[in-house]
Amino acid sequence: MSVVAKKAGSPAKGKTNPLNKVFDIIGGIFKPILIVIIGGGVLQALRDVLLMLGVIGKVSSSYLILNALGDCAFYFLPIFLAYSSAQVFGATPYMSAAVAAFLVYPSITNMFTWANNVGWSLTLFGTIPVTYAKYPSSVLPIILIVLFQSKIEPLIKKVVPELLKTIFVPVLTMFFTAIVGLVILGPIGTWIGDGLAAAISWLNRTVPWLVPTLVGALSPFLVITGSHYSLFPVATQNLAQLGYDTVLLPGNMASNIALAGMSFAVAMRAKNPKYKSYSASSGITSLFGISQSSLYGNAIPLKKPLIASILGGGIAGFYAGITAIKGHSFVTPGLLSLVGYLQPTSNIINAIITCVIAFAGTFVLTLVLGFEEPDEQTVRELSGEAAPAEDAKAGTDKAGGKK
Amino acid sequence: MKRIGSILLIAALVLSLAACSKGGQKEFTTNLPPETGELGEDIRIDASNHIQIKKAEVVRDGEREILLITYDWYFEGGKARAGFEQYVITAKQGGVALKGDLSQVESIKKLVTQINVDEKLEDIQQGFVLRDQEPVTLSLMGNESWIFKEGKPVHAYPVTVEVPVAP
Repeated sequence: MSVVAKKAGSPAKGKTNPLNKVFDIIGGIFKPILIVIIGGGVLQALRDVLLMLGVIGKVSSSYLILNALGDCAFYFLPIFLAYSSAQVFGATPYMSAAVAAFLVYPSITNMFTWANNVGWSLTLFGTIPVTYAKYPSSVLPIILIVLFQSKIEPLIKKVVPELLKTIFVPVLTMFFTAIVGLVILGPIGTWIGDGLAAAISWLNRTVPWLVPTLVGALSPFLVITGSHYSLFPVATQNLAQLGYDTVLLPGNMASNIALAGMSFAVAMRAKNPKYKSYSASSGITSLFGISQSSLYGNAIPLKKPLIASILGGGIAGFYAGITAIKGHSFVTPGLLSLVGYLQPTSNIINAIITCVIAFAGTFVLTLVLGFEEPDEQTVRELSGEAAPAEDAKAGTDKAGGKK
Repeated sequence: MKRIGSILLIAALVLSLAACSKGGQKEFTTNLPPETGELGEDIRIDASNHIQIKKAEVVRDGEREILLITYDWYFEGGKARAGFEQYVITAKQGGVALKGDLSQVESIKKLVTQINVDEKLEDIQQGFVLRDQEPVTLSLMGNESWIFKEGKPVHAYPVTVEVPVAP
């Protein structure tokens, strides 16, 4: 884990605070892949804008292509995360990527969906229960799985005789990592999410205004753990039964807009032109509801802006809660999702006020709280620039486990 | 001579391309399943899969009421396995997805049974935990993600079957 602190070059360098360590690890894992997340986010925003302007229809190959291009980085996120996590934890990256690819393999995904739909209890070798989990676009499961791989891989290398290493090290590492991942580590996000969904549903019945407040404030953490997916069925059910949702959509919109305000504030205050450009791009994608680049490239590595985003999102969520704004359609929660708040007039007015509070509040809070700008190396990684040859070699050595 | 040969070759190439493009002008329309179906009807849900829901009954399981459906599955095109590789049947009540439950099913193995060419797998069962007495909408989804309608790609859609829930 010390690899992260060294490589990240974050302001928390040298500190031993466990929370800082966790943030550094998350930052280290996400930095190399944020460039594709921004690209995908902008393409998704472009898709939505073109669709809304009527330039492309939903029934067209243009939509199909643009949708797949914008979504692929998110759908196959576990594979990207596996590679970068392996570099952080010191596991072999391609084996991690293979295990992640197994989790999002179409037959596995279809089998899980089918089993969940019909009530079939999946087992491994007829005895070990396999819990349903949704792996495409997930974050936490693959990070935990690669962490496990980084622990088991050296043990396997130690035990297997030199002559048999080429065959048995990858076989045993991939087998044990995949199985432990599927049975134990993978479902953790699902279990957290299910508990959260139950708690949020209960809160929504007893203190409804509190739900958008909490979702507005804590969405960044829901996204990190992937547990926000567990709230989707709650929102879908609300939309189907009531015709609107107050649980997920308003709070999520507040949070994404807050992250946009934070990124723009960082862009304004940052001195490094590349980081300015990165932060502004992240701000734009967050306005359209794709906030991962703001979260992992600004909020988490800089820490104080994360606090500003939580406060700003929470305050805006609180306003959304007390005015009981209702989202009437499942559009990516950002500025474009305002079309789902059009009726009645008071609803759209309050939704716009929510966005303004989220954006302006977080913008100001970020400037007031301040932040320490990341170093040149971190900025280079965020911008997707290739590391200098020596660094790259060092990284490869670490990643390959040659310590 | 070389020049004439080249011209003839190019002409042949252009003509063959023209012939290809003429052939490619055919509008490509895949099998379009009906949007709705009825109990007892043999429904072709995609290019190869047929489902016929023969029975839908409510059975009690302690406090719970379960809608138990019984259906036949027929696959055009050789060997195939039932289950997620070919079709998915889900259920909703008032737009809310119902939880699948196999506790009242006689033989759950039928859900993953392999059949041979032109064989029909009969009396497959699935159960869904009912929320109330509202009618249930069953969704029968085939194994295609996309279908082509007059040359345009369209998301494949499920065939829906309304099932009344008798008190």
